[in-house]
Amino acid sequence: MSEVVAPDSLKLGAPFGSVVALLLMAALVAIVVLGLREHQSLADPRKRWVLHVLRLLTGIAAALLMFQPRWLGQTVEQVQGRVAVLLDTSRSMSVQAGSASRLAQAQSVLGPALDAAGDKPSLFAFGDELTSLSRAALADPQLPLADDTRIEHALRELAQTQNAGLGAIVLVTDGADRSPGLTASTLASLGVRVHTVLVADTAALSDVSIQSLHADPVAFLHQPAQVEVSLRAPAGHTSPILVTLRSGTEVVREVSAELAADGTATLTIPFTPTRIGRAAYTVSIPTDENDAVPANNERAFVVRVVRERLRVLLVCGQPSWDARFLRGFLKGNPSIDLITFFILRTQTDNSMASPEELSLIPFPTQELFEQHLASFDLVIFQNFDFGPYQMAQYLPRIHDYVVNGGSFAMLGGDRSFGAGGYVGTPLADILPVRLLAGEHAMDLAELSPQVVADSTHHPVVELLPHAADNVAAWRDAAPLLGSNRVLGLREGAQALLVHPTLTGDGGDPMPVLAVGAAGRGRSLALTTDTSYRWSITTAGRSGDASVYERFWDRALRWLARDPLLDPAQITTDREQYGPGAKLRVHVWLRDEHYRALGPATFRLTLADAHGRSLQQLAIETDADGKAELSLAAPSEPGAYLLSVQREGQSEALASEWLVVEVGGDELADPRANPPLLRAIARATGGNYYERLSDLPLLDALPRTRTHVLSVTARTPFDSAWFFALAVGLFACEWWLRRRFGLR
Amino acid sequence: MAAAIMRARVFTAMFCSAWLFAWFFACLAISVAPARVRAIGERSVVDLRSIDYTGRNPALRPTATKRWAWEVRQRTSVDTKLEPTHVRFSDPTLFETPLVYWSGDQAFAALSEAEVQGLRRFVSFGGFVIIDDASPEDTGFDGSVRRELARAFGSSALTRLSDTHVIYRSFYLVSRPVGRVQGPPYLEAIEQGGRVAVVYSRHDLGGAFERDNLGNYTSSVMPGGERQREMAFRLGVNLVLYALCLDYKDDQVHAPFIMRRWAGRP
Repeated sequence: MSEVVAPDSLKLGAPFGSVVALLLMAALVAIVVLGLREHQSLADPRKRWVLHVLRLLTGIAAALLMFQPRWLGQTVEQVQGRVAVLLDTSRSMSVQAGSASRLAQAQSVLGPALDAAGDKPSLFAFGDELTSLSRAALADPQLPLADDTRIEHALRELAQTQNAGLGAIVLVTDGADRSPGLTASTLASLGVRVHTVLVADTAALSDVSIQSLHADPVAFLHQPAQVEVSLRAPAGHTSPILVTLRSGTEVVREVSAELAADGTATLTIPFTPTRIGRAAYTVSIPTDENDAVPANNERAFVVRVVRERLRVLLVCGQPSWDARFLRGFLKGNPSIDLITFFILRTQTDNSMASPEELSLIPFPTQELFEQHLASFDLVIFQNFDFGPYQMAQYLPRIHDYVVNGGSFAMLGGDRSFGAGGYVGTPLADILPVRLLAGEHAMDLAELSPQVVADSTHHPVVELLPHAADNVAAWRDAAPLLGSNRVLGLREGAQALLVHPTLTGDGGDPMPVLAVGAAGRGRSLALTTDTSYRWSITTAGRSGDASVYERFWDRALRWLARDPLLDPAQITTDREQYGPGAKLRVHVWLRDEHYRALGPATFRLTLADAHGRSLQQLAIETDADGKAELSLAAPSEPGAYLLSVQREGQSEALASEWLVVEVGGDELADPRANPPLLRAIARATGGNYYERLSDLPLLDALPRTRTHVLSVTARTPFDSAWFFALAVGLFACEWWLRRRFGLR
Repeated sequence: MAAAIMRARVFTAMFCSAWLFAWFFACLAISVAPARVRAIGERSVVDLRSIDYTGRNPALRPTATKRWAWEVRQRTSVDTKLEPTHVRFSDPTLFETPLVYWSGDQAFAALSEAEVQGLRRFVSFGGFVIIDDASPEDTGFDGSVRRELARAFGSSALTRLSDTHVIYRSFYLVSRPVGRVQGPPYLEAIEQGGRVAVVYSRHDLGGAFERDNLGNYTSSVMPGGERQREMAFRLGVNLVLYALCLDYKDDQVHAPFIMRRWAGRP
């Protein structure tokens, strides 16, 4: 221990705050200056100078009285403090430096150094957070790695929490810091010296890496999106780099990147999502055998794919109230792009006008059903008969459009279903109902369709969450004025609303509203042309017109495959995870008819982007078909697919993508940063060691800390004598001014 | 030469006679033949339903809506009820069908609160009201109907309809509204939720439509004669088509066709 006297420091008092002090000072200066100007009127220069001197001395004395300067002195001692070792355990420390990783090298040196120290240093690890580290943990070759490096945060937290007796921090790191705006000079305020030890090969790192990926978190279905990729290669790497974008195992696009002179390249890769929901993509570059960090050659990102606008083609066989209300609903929905065609005039109508006096346009069947059919998400035939418009040739196209993933709805009327001549056509194969031809194809009796008990939870008819309320809402809706007759359901289809009295050929109640799958597409049949009565007529009775709007909103969303209405769903608490992170999974399983699958046992599979199964777990669903579980995220980077299957089956009931990022940006630039470590050491009074082997014994490191023993203050102007002196100077000046003839 | 002229006259006389004969029986058939069932039942077809109210002249244009419905059915693909019905604004069955026709030729007493409430609810739930002043020469009906519209929708709700509104091209290309009289060169309307919900015509459309049981028009149309009557029918058809299709003809796909035809007109 050594005791020293620190240099004095001067402190000024500021009466009534700095603003008042400034005003007082300004007034004092003004008084002095005015006095000096007044003295200029004296002819005798000796008298003038005497008064000048007295005025100045009086002003100075007043200022000293007012501000009372104090001289402060400290007596301090330099004491030997404790040493804390701070080891960087971020993922960049896993980079190979010679024969071993940076971290392994640090572990091999620090262990013996700690053992050899007489005064045992405390040991800490840091990445994004500061944690204490035991001696045993230091020897662990599987030490957990952090996905970030925050040197300043770790130093400040350590200095704050270990303040008592801390003499020096030994910072062992590669310096690949990611703190935004870190400047070493700001660390001088830590109050403790930091010895920095570089753990890295200072030679240029042979690493070609994907430095960053930037993609919008949301993309639109069938609309071009893009990801911006930044690459970095060591100096001298001149050959182009092949960048591959994959969705699962499928190669979406390959782009060759030309590097700039500084070894960097930025390129934009376009892609077009083809499925609604969460989509995982990976971007990869080839890995050279000498590549120091293969992990940063592949990175993944997740995009949430939504439908920009639902494109609907509505073809109405004639203007009707049903068409009017449906068109009004569709036009009022800002998320729908609607193309409507009404057949306003048939061949038997006589408009009594020349074509030039009419606003009619030809029905562009070829354009709609040959050129642009695939661009629609949903096609609705509302009481439309194809026969008069030579459309038979296009029916197979509509059939194929649905089988390949499109959606189709047929709404009733005297030109629909069997009455519209669709029996035996390709459209009959995709409709969820079997058609009846002939004169009995329509029933004119009023009806109040009933919700099928087994279908109350189907989203199309689930207007209210509670089954009883839902049934009541449908029961209270205004009755319909007749329906098309159908034979029954097509195989695999589901009746949602049925006729209260009529039955199909199998004896079951005749479907009024039915849905079904056709290939990869969906279809809906509503066998009435008076569904508008669920709007205006129901509202006239109850004041509530929402049955119609809720029904059509849900019907459109179901037809458009809104993921929120999928019968079986997997959701995870996040989209991206670190390696080994806790992954919470929620599963809600219902069959295609929206009946809960439970209680039952299912299999949850975690597979990589190549379809290789990594983990399988048995899950138990409750009576609602719901289950929750947690599992560890994979340790390797990339995109992963979670799926649920029935036991003994491979077909997935539901699936969801997630991404594991190893390091992410942490590994994007793992180059060592000696200048930063040198600057930290210089700013805090510590030493910089460029190699681990340069580190001396920990006991020999400078580790003194300054301890203040006492503080002394001297205030020479806080005395009656000085006050008397000031008053005397003022009186003397005043007396002489009078003597010299001034006022 | 004279023989040729004679043959032409005979031919013309025969043609005209045949045409008149066919026309007469067509009119007769319409008035006596049962209505053809179209759509799924007669109840779901378009009913040009007249509004009954206290103070209405019961003898006013008794067949106008029937003729109007027939013209719409003959000229377009719309199924109309050939025996239109009547309803009051206070009747619970008002909401059975979304179109009503409100006409009058004289001042009338204030509607009841229930009727005003019914009118307001009918429009807000999606209904469409066509108001026709059958005596545009005086202000009796006009004053009363404006008073009632102000009660139901506020005094500033009724505004002039732009002459480019889709109502003027929902089926025919109509350059100005006319009826039995030429009237003002505009229609008035109340818009709700982005659509025209109430249209007010001061042209006596019903007067132009009205025929007696023998098929003769009951009112002469001034000043344009039969051409003006035809234009009135076209406006009537357009109003029904607008009620059924809304702004369908405003869709982008129609724009090039309609613009070309507008450009080709004098």
